[in-house]
Amino acid sequence: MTGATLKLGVVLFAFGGAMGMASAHHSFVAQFDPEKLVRMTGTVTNIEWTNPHAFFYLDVADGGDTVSNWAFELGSPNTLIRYRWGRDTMKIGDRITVEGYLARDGSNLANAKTVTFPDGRVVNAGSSSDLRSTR
Amino acid sequence: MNPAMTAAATGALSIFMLVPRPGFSQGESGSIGGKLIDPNGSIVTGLDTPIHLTHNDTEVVYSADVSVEGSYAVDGLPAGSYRLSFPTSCCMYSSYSEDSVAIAAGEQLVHDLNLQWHINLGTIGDDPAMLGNDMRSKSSEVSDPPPRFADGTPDLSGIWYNIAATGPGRQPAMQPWAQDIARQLREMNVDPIAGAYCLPYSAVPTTLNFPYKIVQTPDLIVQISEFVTPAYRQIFLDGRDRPEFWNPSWYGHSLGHWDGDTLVVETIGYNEITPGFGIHSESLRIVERYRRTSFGTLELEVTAEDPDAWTEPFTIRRTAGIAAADQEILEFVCMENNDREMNIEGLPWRGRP
Repeated sequence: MTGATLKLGVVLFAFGGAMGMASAHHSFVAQFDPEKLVRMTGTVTNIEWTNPHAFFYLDVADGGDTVSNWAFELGSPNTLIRYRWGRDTMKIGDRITVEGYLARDGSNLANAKTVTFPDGRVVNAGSSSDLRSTR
Repeated sequence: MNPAMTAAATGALSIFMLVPRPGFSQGESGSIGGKLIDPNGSIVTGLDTPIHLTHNDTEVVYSADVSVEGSYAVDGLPAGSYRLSFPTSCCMYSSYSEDSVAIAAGEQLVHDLNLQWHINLGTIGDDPAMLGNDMRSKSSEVSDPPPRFADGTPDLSGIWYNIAATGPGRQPAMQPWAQDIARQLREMNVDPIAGAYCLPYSAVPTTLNFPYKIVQTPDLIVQISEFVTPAYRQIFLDGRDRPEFWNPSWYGHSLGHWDGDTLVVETIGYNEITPGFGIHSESLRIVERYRRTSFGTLELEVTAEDPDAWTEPFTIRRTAGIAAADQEILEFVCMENNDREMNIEGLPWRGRP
């Protein structure tokens, strides 16, 4: 398989650019490293319901005594709402597992491409209908 | 594109594929079909754009829309070697292509496509094309005639979302000085996107892959675009002149009139950095022609010219579908996300201690 055949600039020219621009003003692929896929389980400590990107924070234990707080970035609340990911879909205190790519800057930040909720529901990038079916 | 129809058609083809057809002859056509799979191993749903098979000898192109349920099927294929291409739009999945897929006479080839992430790396809730499919997918009465006001004027009101993957754009044919700027940007390996900094994404926001609403009165049309800054744009139809004093701006100054059933919008007064139309000058002049061809379809042709920067006019086209009746434009404050860099009078961005 040959992957992308369109140059990014061409795509952006044609379609006006990604919705996905982080606060650091980069595309996800500029901000996060597709080679560094991580999977973490932890407890939700905070949820920031802000445009253009929502964030949630997890306390993750490293196996010893240390607990680190990690930030995970989502798409826009406007889109999540339309996909029926509401403000109550994830709650502070929920124990969830999340999979995503680490930030290139080495901070405790990753994008969230798959979220597994306590009841086993899995929400991933692949579809809006996945979100819909979780309700 | 009607996802429901596409899904139904693909479903029928899938059944066809599962039934072996005995006794096919050497010259019988074949088919190809399979699933679209993301890097997680999940089925890719929510896409409804075409996949193309081009016969490497005859150059005949065979196309079919993928189904929103995540499968595709193309049949009626003469034996031979094919180029397979599945162009996607920004930003969830990269376009997919293969140079040589062999299909024997009468063969029903099962061939899954493993799509790779595009620039959003699969982030949940961050794909404009999928959002567009979602917002359009439950629209009804889309093939009804376009509505009109009592005086017969076409009514363009509604929430619209461009149908994505209309193909790669192209740059305007630029004069040497503009080419030189484009070359410098390439050499710097940067592609500055003003929208990423909460500035406008395009001089003509209705060309973008975002939802927008048209509010129409006889004298004024307002476009409200979600996810872009500024969200509003005014088009005056009251016969006014251009303003005497004008500061060149991102959306310029737009006057509209009706040419039969087509709304013609002529805009000048752009600044030289407004995006979406390559390197240009303040002489940029853009004419948009909107025509609602059915209840659910709005055709847009945008012709831009810049005698001081380009060598010929530049045209792009979009087809928008109407969003389902339960959809609405939502508030979008782009700067909200910059809370980490912002403070107000020494307080966090919310203005609370």
